[in-house]
Amino acid sequence: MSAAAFPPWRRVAAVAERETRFRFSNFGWLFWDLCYPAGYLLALGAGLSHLLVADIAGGSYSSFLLPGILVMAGQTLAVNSSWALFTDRDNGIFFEHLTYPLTRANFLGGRLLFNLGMGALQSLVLIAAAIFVLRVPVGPGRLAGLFVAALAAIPLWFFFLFAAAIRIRRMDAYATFQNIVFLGALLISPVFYPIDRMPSWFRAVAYANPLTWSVDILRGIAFGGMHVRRLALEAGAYAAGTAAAFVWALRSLRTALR
Amino acid sequence: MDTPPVVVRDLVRVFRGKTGEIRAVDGLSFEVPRGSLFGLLGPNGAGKTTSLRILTTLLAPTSGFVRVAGFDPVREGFAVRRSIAAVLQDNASEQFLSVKDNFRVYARLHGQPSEDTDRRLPAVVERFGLGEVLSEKAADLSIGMRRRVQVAKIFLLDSPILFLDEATTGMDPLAKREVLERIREIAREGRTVVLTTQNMDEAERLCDEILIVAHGRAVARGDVDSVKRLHAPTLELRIVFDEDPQGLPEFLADYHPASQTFADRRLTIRLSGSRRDAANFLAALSARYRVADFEVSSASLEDAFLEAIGEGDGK
Repeated sequence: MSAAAFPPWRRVAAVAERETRFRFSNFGWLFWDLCYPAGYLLALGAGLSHLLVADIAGGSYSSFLLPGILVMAGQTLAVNSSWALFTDRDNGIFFEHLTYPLTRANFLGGRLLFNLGMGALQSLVLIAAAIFVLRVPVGPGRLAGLFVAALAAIPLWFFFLFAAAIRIRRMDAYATFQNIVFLGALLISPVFYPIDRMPSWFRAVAYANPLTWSVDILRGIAFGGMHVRRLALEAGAYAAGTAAAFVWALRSLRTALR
Repeated sequence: MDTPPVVVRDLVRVFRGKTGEIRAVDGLSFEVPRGSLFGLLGPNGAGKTTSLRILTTLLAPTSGFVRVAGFDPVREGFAVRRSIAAVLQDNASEQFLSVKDNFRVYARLHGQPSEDTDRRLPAVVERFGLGEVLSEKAADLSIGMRRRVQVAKIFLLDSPILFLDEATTGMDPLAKREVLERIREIAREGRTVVLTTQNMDEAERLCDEILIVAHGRAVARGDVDSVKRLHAPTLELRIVFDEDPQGLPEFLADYHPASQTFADRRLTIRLSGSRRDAANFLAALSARYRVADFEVSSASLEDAFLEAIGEGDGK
């Protein structure tokens, strides 16, 4: 087989297709991927918006919640992808995949492409639920930006958790690690509540949390009212974090059996 | 001159763990000519699988020179992977996909156009008796059947170099025979096959050349006959006499047998030497005694294997 006959885009597409077939073989996984974050948004958005008397950060609680849930949804996809790796490793197909005519970057790229596709579906479901059910006022001019930013929030978590799942070989150890990271990142961030009035130590940790950076960016795009300089700084930090996570994932994949 | 598709020189792989170093592969060297069937034989822990993992780009060697299809598996892993197909030891399958989708995904991930896959698939399915399970999920198949799917996949492709790690383990005799036959065909087509096995009968029937490894080192190498001659150079003769042979022990003593047993006019004796020596012995024996029947057999590859790894008689 010549390299021209199997160009990089086809290799990446083949990996993404395999991931799609794998995930669509189980509707439980699909439900988890697509509906679980929407359930969070609807339950918390509808419930807490009526309980809270005062609006948060100049809007309803549903409006405040939407960017955070969009980022959390991408994080959930990354968690599911990392668990799928354990399934693949346990039945041996993961190592067989590594003997296929793909570069390690193709392998990662294909899985990321699948996550981006699922992320796009998820984001559409979430944004539609927010606009039509919770009456979140996202202007039409900001919708595309919000959608793209939600997708851009996916790669860092995908690469990071994928690399961690390769390196932490034991399932029980990974479950502990993932719960700490997932919940820790969610709770020490502005996903569910504003952090401006939190203790200084809390804010310090939250500002070092990549989830905070992407939630801030999404919130800025959706509703404005944030400092451009701060958003640019957070976008830069996020891009650097994504690049570092990609390199870590690539190295982990290259040494998966060492 | 044609460069061998697989070249391994002084290959070393050391695993470092909490309990110290393990030299899984300790200075292996071999070459596999194009279109040949090469067998890596050895007991568990001999270093066969580690060697295969290095050749298939899964593991980096600690030191040594390795080339597959002319490429370095460490620096040019992608180029190596474009030339190979591998069946690893685990029963690897896309568990949650149907058998048919297992084939399609495999071919797709190897860059094979769908129309080629559709054209080849019916023959592969028929040969491996997978027609009735095509729409079943791999996870629902027996281990032997899953192994059959795993091995059958490589016959969808035209990869010039195949690596098979204990490929027929867990298969029933019919499926095993089919796989061995297909592997032979592949070699006849000019493709190169490197396989590991613990099944001596399989290696004896299949391989052009074998390398016996123990503790990561080569202990015997060559074609099956020469390894057998070198490491188990005895012939076993079973003779039946018409009447009790008088003075037989004295007669046999001149031939220095490796072992001998005699009961009920039946003699079993193991002699060193060639088949011509055995013929001379039989001629002398039948000139002196009335021989009713005889049978001569050479040592099996299993005998040679056990001798080579130091587990044979008297070792």
